[in-house]
Amino acid sequence: MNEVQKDQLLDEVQNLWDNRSRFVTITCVDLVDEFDLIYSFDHNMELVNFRVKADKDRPFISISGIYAASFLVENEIQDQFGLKFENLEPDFKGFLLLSQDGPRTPMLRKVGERGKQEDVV
Amino acid sequence: MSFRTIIPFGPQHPVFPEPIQLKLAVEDEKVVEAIPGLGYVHRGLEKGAELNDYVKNIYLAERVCGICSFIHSWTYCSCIETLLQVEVPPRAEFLRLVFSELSRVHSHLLWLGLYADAFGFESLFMQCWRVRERSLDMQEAGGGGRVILSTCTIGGMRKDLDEDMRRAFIKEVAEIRRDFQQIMTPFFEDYSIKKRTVGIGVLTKEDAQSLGAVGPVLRASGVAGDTRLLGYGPYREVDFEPVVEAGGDCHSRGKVRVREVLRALDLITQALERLPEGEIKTNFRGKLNGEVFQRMEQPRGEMLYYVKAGSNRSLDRFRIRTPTFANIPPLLKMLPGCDLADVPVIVLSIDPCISCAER
Amino acid sequence: MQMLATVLNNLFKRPVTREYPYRYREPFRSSKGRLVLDMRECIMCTACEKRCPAGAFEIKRKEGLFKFDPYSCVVCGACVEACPKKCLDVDSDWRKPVGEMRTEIWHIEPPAKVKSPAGAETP
Repeated sequence: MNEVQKDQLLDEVQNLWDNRSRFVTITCVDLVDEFDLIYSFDHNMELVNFRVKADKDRPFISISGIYAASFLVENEIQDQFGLKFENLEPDFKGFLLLSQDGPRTPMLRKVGERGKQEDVV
Repeated sequence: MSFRTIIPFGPQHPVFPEPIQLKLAVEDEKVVEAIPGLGYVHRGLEKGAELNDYVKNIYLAERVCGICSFIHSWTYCSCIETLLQVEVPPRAEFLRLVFSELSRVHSHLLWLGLYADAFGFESLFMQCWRVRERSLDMQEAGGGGRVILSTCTIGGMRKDLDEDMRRAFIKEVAEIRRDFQQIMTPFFEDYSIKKRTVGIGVLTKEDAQSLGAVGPVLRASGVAGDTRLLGYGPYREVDFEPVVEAGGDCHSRGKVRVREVLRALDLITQALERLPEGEIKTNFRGKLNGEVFQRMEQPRGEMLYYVKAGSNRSLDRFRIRTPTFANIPPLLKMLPGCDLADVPVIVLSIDPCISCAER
Repeated sequence: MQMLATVLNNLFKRPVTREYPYRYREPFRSSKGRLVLDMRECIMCTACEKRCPAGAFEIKRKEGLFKFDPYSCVVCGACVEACPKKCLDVDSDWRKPVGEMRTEIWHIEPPAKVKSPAGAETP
């Protein structure tokens, strides 16, 4: 899987838009000290994946200006991992899936949550 | 002089089997904007899967959706099989195809019934569900449960079809086809159905591609996008051609699904007729390693699983992108400009499965 | 006119639905209705507890306590495959409605030396 730098992300996505790829999804993986965002696109029935590293405390770039369909999944990541996206339209402020009185950022890894099985370093 | 009013559509509404809210901004009966409100059935299955043993996750994956549960377990098992590098015996692969196409038949028949109900054709709704009952009986006879079969496991299948059952299945499929052909003509030709659906909720080919529509919604807009064309499992060995309609409106989406029922019945017969002999399960050993993306075609469209192996029999990340989640942005595109009375039919035409979308 | 055959069929055929409590459909032979336990052979190996995705079993080997909650069981059959003594079986008949949900509890004399059966770790 290719790795793309954060500042080249929009160019890369624009290229995919230009060759008429279909947006599939963004997958966020918590690597404890940073996030791994895996962008998936479908180009002529072939899955195009690339990975972008995101810092945990800084807002990330939204691609919803290019692929409007990405707003849903970016809102979901914002809910589950607490990773903010800039220029997200519409922005649910972290309440797309979660309710106002529910838990925040449930998908973040916590130390020792799997009991004795595994501890996050 | 037109007022702008916001009408909350849902979460409880007669056409919705499941809760989703759409805030419709309405000007004089015309919808101008729609904002979705999700989160009514969010269960945190992705997190649950990370805390579980990976073998137990088969049963969890099956319960993401009650309608297309078999394909969920198949996709999950095939992810794990890729990570463990297990070869699945051909007989098991064909059995998986049979059950996944059966679930497509029953899902589409369920949807056609609900769709008929949405535009007020109640007797057609009952006819569709009567035919559907036969496919559920097949699932129960062959797999042991009406919708949640629990037959798919890592390395193969847990239940075999014996020779009598195989013959009975072929006969039953022919009968379902005969019954369905008797009731399907109204979906193509009936005057009042056409009045309610033709030209309603149009999604152009360009919009369908750029908004990432999947499944019948994409195919009704004239794009031959079907993940089964990738030839996973036994799909490379059977004759298969995706169903495509050009209209892009609700009528076309209905027609795609009617024709897909027939196509799925055809695939079941093909698979049962050339069901290979042999084992149905291989044993496996080893450690999970690496990460994998797997796409499969649900009744509602393309589904994507991402599985990243963790240490010690658990998963680091388990991500499901379900078809309804991808079909919500196209839905928001279809709604503006339509009449308020057409909203139920349009919303239903993407076959919303909210439990899938929120997981 | 296209519906004519269906209309006539529906007029002259028996109804497709059943009056359920009075007329009962026999379950299919392979249908998964409920889990039946035969505790005579049980060796308290806890293979079923390890495999159960729903957490329906609770086994305390030292005290000889075996608890099974039939109402959290999802009848997947994973324990049936795991059981080395074949004490568990899936019956095709469904569980009848009850007024009160009860956990089934057995007290079993724990075997002197408990051996972990082969294959209890891998599915």
